[in-house]
Amino acid sequence: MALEKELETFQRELPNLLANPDYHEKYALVFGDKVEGVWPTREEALAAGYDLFNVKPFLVKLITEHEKPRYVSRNVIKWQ
Amino acid sequence: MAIITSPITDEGAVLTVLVGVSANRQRMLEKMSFPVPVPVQVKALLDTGSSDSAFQASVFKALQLTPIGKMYISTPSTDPSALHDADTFDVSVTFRSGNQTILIESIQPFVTNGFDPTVETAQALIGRDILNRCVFNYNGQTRQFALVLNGSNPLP
Repeated sequence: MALEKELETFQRELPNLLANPDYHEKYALVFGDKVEGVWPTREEALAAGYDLFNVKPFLVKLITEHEKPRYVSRNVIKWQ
Repeated sequence: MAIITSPITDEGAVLTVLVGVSANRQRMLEKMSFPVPVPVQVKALLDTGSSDSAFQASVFKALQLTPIGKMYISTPSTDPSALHDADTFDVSVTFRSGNQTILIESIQPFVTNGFDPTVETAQALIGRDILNRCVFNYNGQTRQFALVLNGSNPLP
């Protein structure tokens, strides 16, 4: 599964990230087993990810207590 | 500003867009002297019922992309009590109308296999991640739709 390790890292670190109110509704940049930083917008986190990791895979994810689901009207599949 | 008008077909409001790497990724590729993949032309269904856009896996593969995000998602085949994580990507979308071009530098679409090429020409969804930047007029009586995009209006 793509970004499996990064997602595990994010889930593991989420309580620590949420412990800081300044991080709420901001975006974490995750590479491997490390959260590399937090940025105010998704685009800034992505720009940082490309700067740091170039073409290597990284994860950008919203830091939030309750992630709201997205709704798509056609079938969505996992990346393979 | 670009105004795209087109007939409403049996599939709905469908138009052609170009899907490319995001502006951030393009800057990185150019800085590294890597080739920038050629944007992919896609017929997309304008869908106010979808929060996000979705493209087929072949588009992301052509752009040499791998996922950069994960989000909880609900689809027609999802049990509402068991939402699942879905992969998202970082791409740009370009709309063209005559000699006007509007580039949306970065959206976070999903991968869909929900289009049947034997019965429909649409291959992708344009969701509210893009439509929220536009004025979308759907006139069922005249069977015409219009999409007004202003490149200077950021997503609120």
